[in-house]
Amino acid sequence: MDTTNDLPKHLDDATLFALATPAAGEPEALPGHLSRCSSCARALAEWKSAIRTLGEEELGAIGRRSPEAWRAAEDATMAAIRRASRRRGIVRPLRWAVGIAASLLILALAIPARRRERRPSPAASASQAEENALPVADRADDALLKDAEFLARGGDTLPDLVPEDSL
Amino acid sequence: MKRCALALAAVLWAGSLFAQQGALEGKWWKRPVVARQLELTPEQTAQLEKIFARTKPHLIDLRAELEKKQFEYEQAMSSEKVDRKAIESLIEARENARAALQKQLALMELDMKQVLKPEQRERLMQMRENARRMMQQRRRRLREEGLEDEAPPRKQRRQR
Repeated sequence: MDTTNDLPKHLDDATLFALATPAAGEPEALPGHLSRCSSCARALAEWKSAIRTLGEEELGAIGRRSPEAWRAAEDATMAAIRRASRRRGIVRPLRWAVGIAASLLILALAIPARRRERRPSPAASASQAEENALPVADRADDALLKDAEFLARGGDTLPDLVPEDSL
Repeated sequence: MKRCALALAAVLWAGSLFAQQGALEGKWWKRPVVARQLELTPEQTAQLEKIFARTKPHLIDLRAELEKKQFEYEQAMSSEKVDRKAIESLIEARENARAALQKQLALMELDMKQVLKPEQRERLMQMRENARRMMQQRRRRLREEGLEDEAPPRKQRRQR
């Protein structure tokens, strides 16, 4: 399967990211390269895993995080990536994960700045947060349900995607 | 650095997508914004919760079973000596586990739909469809704007 050496170019992170977030219930065109390159296929699986972890958080909740929560989220993201890598017996592909972790930190710094620029009233912020929030008691169940839905859709494997060449 | 910027864009983009799409997944009936738009009554919320509570133990078991089958398949695929027959049956076992999970989720969805009034069902479907369309548009935009200078056009990539 691994014919990586004679393949011209690996898929970049942006392509992999776009492929890792297909619309629900719709087959996604898959570059033929993925069916021949195990390295890119693995990278796509890792992207899916990382996005799944990120997806368990809502944007509203991200904005309300404390520094401790940011560290915990970063650790969880890295752990998820490591888990995915270990499952496939790979130690190497953590290079792009560093980018994700760094991005989370940048985002943590950027949010207070954005808030200062917009200066929403405290009442409006609280109301917005309340709108998006899921009661704490339900978050574990919510994650379970989302995970089950993701797995049922075949999100953990590639065969749910239609190779581009076949279209 | 370019990679970091790309990853940051991805995180921001994924965050906003999940804020929209994610609200309609998982325990959607418990999200204030969804409950308000569907005009769910406290009785309906309680009924939906009851259906989920009844399904939850099955979901836990079925998810674990599917993950186990997926792990066994991956182990077999990465072993030195790959037995085609064994792989075939492992794939079958994994897909059976997936089908069982899909079935459980579908039955739960069906029970939940019975709780909703026809107009609420219609509204929920519409909200999901809108979220799906928005995701498609954003993905298309990301491809068009973000990849033009990095990757060769799709047609060329096909020919490789």
